[in-house]
Amino acid sequence: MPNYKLLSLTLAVSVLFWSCDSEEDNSYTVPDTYSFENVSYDGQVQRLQMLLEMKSYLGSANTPGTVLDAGRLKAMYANDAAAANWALEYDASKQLKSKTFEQEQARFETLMEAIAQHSQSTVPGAEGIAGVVVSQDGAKQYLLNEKGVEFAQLIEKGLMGACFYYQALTVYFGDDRMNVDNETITPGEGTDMEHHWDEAFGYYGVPTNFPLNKDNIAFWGVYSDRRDPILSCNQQMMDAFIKGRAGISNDDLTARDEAIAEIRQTWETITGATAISYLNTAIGSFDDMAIRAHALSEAIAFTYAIQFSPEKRMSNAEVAAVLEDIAGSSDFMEMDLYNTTPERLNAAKTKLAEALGLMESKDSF
Amino acid sequence: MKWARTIPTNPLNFMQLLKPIFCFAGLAALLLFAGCEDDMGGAQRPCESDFDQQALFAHTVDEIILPGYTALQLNANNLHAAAFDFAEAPSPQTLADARAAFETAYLSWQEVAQFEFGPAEAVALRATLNNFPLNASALESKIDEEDYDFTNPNTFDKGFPALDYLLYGLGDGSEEAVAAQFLETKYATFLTEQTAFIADVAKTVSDAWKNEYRDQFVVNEGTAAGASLSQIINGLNEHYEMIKRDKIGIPAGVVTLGFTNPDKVEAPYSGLSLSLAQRALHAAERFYLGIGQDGQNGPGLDDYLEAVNATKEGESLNARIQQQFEAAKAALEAVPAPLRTAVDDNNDLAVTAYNEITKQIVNIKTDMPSVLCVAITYIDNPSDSD
Repeated sequence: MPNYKLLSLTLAVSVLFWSCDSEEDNSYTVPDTYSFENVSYDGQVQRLQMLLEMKSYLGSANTPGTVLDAGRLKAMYANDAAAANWALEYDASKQLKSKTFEQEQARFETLMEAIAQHSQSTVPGAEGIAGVVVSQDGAKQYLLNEKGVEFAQLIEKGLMGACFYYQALTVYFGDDRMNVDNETITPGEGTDMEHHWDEAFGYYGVPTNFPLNKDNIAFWGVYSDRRDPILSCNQQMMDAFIKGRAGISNDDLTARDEAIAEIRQTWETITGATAISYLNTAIGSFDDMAIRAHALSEAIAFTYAIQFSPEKRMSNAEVAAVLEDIAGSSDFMEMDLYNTTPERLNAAKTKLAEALGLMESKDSF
Repeated sequence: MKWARTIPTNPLNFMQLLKPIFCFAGLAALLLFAGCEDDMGGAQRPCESDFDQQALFAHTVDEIILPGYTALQLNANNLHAAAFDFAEAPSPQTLADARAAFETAYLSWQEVAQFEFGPAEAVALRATLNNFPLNASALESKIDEEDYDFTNPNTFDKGFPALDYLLYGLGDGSEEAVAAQFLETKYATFLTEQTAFIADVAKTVSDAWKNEYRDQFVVNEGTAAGASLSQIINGLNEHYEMIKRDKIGIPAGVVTLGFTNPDKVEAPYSGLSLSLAQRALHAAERFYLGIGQDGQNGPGLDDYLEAVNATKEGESLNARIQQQFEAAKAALEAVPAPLRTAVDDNNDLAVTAYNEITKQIVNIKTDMPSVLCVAITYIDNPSDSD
């Protein structure tokens, strides 16, 4: 008789737990760092490294008399190894261009051709004249176009937005890459879903035990770390990436989807706060053209990046309005930083801060 | 229900607990089962409904599909004749006639674009006649190479979009500039080869329906893949999704983070894109309702849904679908032509139209097939992987 009762109870309890959607198993362990089985994002590491090389080459033009080769820049962009003259070796299939938001790829090539033109200048830059402009203290110098825009920043930071940020938040977190197999494990890469998640993480540019370890942080990792004192974003980003990956590995797609929303929001906040930070620099050093131009070129590129997330809190039109405040135009080729005003920069700052919930901290970045 | 895990295993409490737990479990199981049932509760065994499928199929073929192809064939013949006259003697007048014939033919194509099964599927009619956006430079090469093979379904250098370019897009698009270009034999020949092909293939499909496919279609009952009901529902949905995505969504930037694609509209040179989309949407509605070319409302999917008492959230599914067609048409109507400029200048209206068209998808692609026991078998929008 007791056995019968035990059986009944077992049945009763199992019916209680039964439901049409499989009950979420929240019993799995979420690790403290991004340490999981089969993590691989080599393609992302390669692309970050390619952009580092391109950045270094672009930076060489800040030395007067250094002429950039547009062909080499475009070869770097498309990973045409024969013409890119890379310092390191990259897989032929990995490139920055093909992963850039498609409608913007040509724009970056146009910027590359333009900066190569600017670099041919043999005179110091000034309003109406492309060339290198030096800061008042003589410590900094940047190659600007005839309207005071530093194209090296538009290219480098622009690709952080139109390529890395876009790939992570839109492509890898999108339905096409997330509604995929989560059963079959490829050795070294995990399931398709795990692998896609890891690839998104790869674009954040930090080690798996960040923020404890900050060695070799690159691009977004660097800016996340710079905003961390006010936003506490390092740990938020890591927690969300870890939560999503653990969720995927334990078939907890609710946790994954929460993590996607959290990462999209925090990453966007980092982006907007970074733009605001550069606006603050420009407002503070408004009369030092080299400093102003450099900071505003950064601010422009980070603002531009906001467009590349599907859950953005600013429409493209609102982004364009901020760019118009900063530079008189949302078209890179038409922007003018010689004739902007502190009032316009403050207006841009307020628009960003209002949209991204940063009104209280906007003067602190 | 986590409390269940803490049930004491003490034998004394065990007996007392057993009964209420069992009762509760039974109740809970009932509730859970009720929760699992989808919301199509009104239908009683719809797969075995006594709805007259053959009447639906016969009406669909005889009053909608065949008249649609007959009209396309007629209008394609007129287009070819007008194109021939224009090519032979290019002038603003002959061009105006060719353009008018093009517009009529292109609109009548929208009526039949959703019937991509049977004879149309056999010749990949939709890809053959209307792959867009056009790759204009590929078309220019094709003209240059005097390549008059229009049968490759994977190219974007032919069909109605090519005519849109040839009749409206050459030079500065003025009648004089276009007519002048046709003094070059290559352009003249290409144009008439293309219009002849459209007329031929329209006849091929139309004849195939008349000669044999009609009769086999009418008796092809059931709900399995390949049965006529499945073909109708899949055909309707696949093209409806093209209206949503290709005609409106992609140009309006909804799949590209709000970056618009004005050049990817269906007919950028003639500015007909919006009329074409409207016609296609109306055609989808008539297909669903069973409204024939003569305006008579016969057996349609609407009647099928009513026959099986399909409901959704306590409302007639058919009524919801009809309301949503009205909302989608109204939203599309509110977009100012041409679509190519509207996607930038009135982006909110274009996006609203997209959203209203999209709201119908769950009704006709999820709920309707589910209640009528038909599977969606086409593959939607494949994506590449890294």
